[in-house]
Amino acid sequence: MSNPNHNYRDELLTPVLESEPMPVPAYSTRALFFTAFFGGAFAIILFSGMNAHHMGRLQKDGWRYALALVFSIGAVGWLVVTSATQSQPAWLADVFGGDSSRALRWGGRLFGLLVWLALWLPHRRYHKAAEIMGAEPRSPWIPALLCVGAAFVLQLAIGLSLRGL
Amino acid sequence: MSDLREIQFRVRNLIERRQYSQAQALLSEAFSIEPDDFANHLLAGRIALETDEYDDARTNIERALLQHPDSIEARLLMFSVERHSDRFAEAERIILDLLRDNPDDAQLFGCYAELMLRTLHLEKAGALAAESLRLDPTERLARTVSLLVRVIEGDRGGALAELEELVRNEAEALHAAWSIVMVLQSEHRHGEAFQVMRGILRSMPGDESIIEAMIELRAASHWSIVPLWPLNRYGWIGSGALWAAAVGSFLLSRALAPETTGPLVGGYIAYVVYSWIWPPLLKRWLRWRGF
Repeated sequence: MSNPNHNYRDELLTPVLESEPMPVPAYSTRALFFTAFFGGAFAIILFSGMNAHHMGRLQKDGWRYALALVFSIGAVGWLVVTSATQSQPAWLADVFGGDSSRALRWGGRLFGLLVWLALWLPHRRYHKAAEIMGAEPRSPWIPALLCVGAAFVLQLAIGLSLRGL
Repeated sequence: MSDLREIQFRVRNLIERRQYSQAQALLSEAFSIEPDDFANHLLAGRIALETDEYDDARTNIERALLQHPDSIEARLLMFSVERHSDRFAEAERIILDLLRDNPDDAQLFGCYAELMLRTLHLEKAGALAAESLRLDPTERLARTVSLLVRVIEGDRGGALAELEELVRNEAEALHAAWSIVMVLQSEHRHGEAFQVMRGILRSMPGDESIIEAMIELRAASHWSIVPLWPLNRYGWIGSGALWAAAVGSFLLSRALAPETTGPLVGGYIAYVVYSWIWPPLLKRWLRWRGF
């Protein structure tokens, strides 16, 4: 019969650093937040996906990104269609004074922040640990701007294809 | 005591007091007496490690290991060199070899736990620290790792319990004071953390990193920062929530009392500008004034 304490020890003494990458976030929480704020849901999905890739967690967390993408396509599509056809729910039209472009802009931004929160929370401990251990994040400018640009194109494509229906 | 042993004893004392250039000068005397002495190579390796000369450190420890390949002290020193020069996989290989030879050494488990924490393998760091503390409940490095893992996980109760243990075992130790600061900071008790930091500064008056940390803490606990409490307490979640609340209140005010929308928007913009500009200005002022 095997000794459970030995198995536990064996597990503890199994090397991890040659086989697993260090789960250090490449980009800071601030960079992720502003990418979501200015770029919306698709930008943060792309940017946070890049961060997860650097941390070696893309495979583990892939389902979160797939789910966020499906939800975002649904939400952005709904906002685009309802604002184009003036068929927004009455409460939403009241809140935004009937201005559909404002509803699209602010609603999209709020949704982007919610997606940021949903994707950031599972990685929060790694961000905190990196901060405590003094790990320097990479410069986010070029990848974040690329993600914002790609998200803009994607959003435009969704809008055009839905409006054509 | 022979001349060589006496010089080595004095070199060790100088290293303890962080007087590395004097230690280096004295060590060259020891090398002139015995060019290939095991302890000389180890001391040279230690000085090189402390002065961030990692290649020199590696060369000296390798020379020592040629004479005594099984020396725990030399292997542990090589582990420290690899860990500090960010060659983490190599450091892990060394510490695992040491642990295979000494499976019940709490200190080695503590070192491995610290390496796992440094490389952000948090679950493994916690498990290794627990194993180290099972073998020796007074092992301070493992206790510190356990405390930090709990701070990172947001387990306040656990962190306080670990801190209590740490202080009980070594109330005067510097790392215990640092741990207190860490826990107080994680609880956003910046004023109290600042007071503990003052004590640390008294024991290491010339350390610039302590002065920088004190300026950060003094700024965080300054009365003019109080209005930024939601942002300091909840971080980016607080910023997002504040933005959503501001947008919500603009929309509501426009529907209910349009004349209040302008002042509300102005107030929000002023708050955002203040939150961006004032904290760095305050830090500069505190640095200039000497907090």
